[in-house]
Amino acid sequence: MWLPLANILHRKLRTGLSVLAVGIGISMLIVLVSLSRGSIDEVVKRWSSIRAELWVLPRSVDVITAKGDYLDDRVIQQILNVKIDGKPVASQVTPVFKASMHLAGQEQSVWGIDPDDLETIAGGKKIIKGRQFDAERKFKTLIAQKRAGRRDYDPDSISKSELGEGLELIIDQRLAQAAKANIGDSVGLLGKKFVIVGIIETGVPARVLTSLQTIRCIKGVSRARSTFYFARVNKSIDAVAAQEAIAKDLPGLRVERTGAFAGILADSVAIATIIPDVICGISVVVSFLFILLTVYTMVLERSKEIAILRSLGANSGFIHRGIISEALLISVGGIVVGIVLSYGGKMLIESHWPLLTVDIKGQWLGLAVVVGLVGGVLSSQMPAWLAVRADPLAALSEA
Amino acid sequence: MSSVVFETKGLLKNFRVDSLKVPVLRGIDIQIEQGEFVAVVGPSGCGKSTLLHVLGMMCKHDGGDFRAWGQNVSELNQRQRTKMRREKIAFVFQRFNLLGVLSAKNNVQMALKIRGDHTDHQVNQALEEVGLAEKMHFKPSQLSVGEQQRVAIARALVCRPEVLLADEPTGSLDSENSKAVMELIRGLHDERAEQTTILITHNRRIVDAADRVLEMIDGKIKT
Repeated sequence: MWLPLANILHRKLRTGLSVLAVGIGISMLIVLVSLSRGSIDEVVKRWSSIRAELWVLPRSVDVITAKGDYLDDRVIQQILNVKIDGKPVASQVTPVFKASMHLAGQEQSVWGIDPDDLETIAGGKKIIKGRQFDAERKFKTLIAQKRAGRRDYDPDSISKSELGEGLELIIDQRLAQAAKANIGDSVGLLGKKFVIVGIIETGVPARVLTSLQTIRCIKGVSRARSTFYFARVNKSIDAVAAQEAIAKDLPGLRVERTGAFAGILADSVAIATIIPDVICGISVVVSFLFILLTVYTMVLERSKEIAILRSLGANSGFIHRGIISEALLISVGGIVVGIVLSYGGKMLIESHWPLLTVDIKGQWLGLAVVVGLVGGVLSSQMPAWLAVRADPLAALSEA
Repeated sequence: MSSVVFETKGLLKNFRVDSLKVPVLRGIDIQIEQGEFVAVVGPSGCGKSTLLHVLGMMCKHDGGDFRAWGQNVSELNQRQRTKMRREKIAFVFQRFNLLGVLSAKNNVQMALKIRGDHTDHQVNQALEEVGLAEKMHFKPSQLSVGEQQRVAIARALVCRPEVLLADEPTGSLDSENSKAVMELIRGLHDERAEQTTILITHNRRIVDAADRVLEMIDGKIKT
């Protein structure tokens, strides 16, 4: 049998503990990276369903929470008026009024959209159960009547029963499963009881969608205002050129490309990835300190074995390779255990927190393998160096 | 015509105990020729084992002249000394010094592996020569002390060394095993005409079997 393998098999419990320690470090690396990146990727993927190239929001607003100033919907016309070479850059502008609610154990983003804009926002995602909110446009029509062509109306003029027509929302399939919610269930939003009237395929940018008019009414917004807008760029115009044109003409607005959302999100939530990165860095270092300690102990215990090998003519390279091989065997075992634990962790996390995404990609597994092997080699250097320097005679004279 | 394997003049070796320098070899003058069977005898602590380790290049001498196969050992670096030991010298120890996690066969194989040789046939033959072919898969802990020493001898001789250095090879054995091991060492030495054997012993029978006896007292060879 190969000596390094025989050695690590000789101390099964210690080897097992070392493999487990490395495995935990490796699995933390895989799970935390897959969780932080997976969650961002999942949001970005949902955003890709939006059928609009530009995202327009107030300069003062926070891109993640979208908390800040509201924009007057006159902005819609201003955007539509922006031209390049006499041609309007935007063909359609979709307002969104953002709110939030607590569902399935966590804060959910709620987008109030015009019922006619569902296609633009959901990008073809189908309602798989029930129907759309304000499907017959009753509430939208009521608000239009109240407004009667004016910019302002009194939200308090809406009676309780009239508002009741608008208290509808749809949720995505994943949230429905996580919240164990079904059609007809009531959920609280902005102090009102909303009824879930539909469940839409997973993949829409906000897991909860409701009527723009309803949200504004409850919020007491007398004049049409929105949190942000999505602008569809005319086909003949380049999105970047359109972005620059709108930003130039309307300097009070922040204009981003929806396709660049991944980068914006990653920059904005950098802390959300840095913290897991730091945690996994620490856990990996601790794991490899465990290897170092294990191999160091093995070297101390086996000074006689090393001396015997010396007496047989083994050179420093042979001793060094043997020690590194043992560390690598532990690392390889740790990598295998770590990958198994990662999939176990993914199952556990996703069953307890169904809205979290642990997206274990090949690249994270590859990273874990590289970190495991490099860590194994590095952590064995000091014990290997000590082994090479050990005095063989002192060891051979031991009883 | 015989050639000189080891030659020392005024060989010195000190050990350090804390800050204290303890002289162990105090000027050894010896000449060992190829094919000789030399026994080194002397009281405990007189430096026999240290002499063997210096000759086997397990440690450096501190003074005097030491030539091995005509080369000045002082001029060899550690890598060259290790290479010389690997290619020409083998040890047998009193406490066998087998690798406990490996089988008898793997222990013998290790000596070849270190030389970059992996011949199974040589391993089997070596174990047959010491009468342990049937126990080649046993681990040292599953063998008697006599058998363990025979494995150690097989491991030493499998590479056909030019010099066998044996440090009290029968010191841990009963009289019956001592006799068997001694006969084995002497028999294998006789079979290999060019092999030089230097052994340390207290055993009268071995002393009688040696071609030459060197007696050490207080780090010197008694003349």
